[in-house]
Amino acid sequence: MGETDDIGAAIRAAAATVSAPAGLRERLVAQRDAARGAAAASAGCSPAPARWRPP
Amino acid sequence: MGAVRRLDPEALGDHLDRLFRAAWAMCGRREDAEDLVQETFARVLARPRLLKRDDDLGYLLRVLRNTHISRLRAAARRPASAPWPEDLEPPDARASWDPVAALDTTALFGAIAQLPAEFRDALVAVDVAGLSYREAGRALGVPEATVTTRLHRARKRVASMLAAQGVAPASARKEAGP
Repeated sequence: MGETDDIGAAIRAAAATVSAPAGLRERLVAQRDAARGAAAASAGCSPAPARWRPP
Repeated sequence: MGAVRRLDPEALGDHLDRLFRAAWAMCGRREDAEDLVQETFARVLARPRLLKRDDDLGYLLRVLRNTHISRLRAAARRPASAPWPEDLEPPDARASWDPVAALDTTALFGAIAQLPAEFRDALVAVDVAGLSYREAGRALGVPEATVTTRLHRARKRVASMLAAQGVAPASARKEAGP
């Protein structure tokens, strides 16, 4: 397994040099804000629970 | 059994780099990786996600993989294109190869993307995304021993493919053999 361990180490080292593009990070933030906004709007628009009335 | 908790959308950015690497290694193309990650996050953010374990990255990797499979199926219904060979940089003519410093990322991720899916997924989970063998097993739904075996074979195949391009270590060339 030692041989493939070396290959694995090389792959990990090469992969570690890669970062996500700044534009992608910005789009993620925008996606998250949009999702948060949609969730808030959905919560705000949901009808209030019906008041219980005695039978 | 551990407590169920909700995936924190605010923490998604912490995993972005590793997910992007994983996506690139799955797709073989940087541009496709951006689209894949974005689509993955859109899926995750579409509704609250409940996790049983403290393993956000493993969960996200699973969603990434499922999203990739969905995209492949959709692409299979369209006329196929194979842009990878055109994007591939020319083989490196270096006589000696420093496995840690010199792996060309484009060639590497292109090679990983060409692996059979089960090998590729194991290698992406452990070597590219950085999961432990146990976490990878959970994310892929296979026993840890299976991850070990697939990872071993995946690494050998990647070394063989890179050797064919002149960018793999001599030792890997020897091992890959005819």
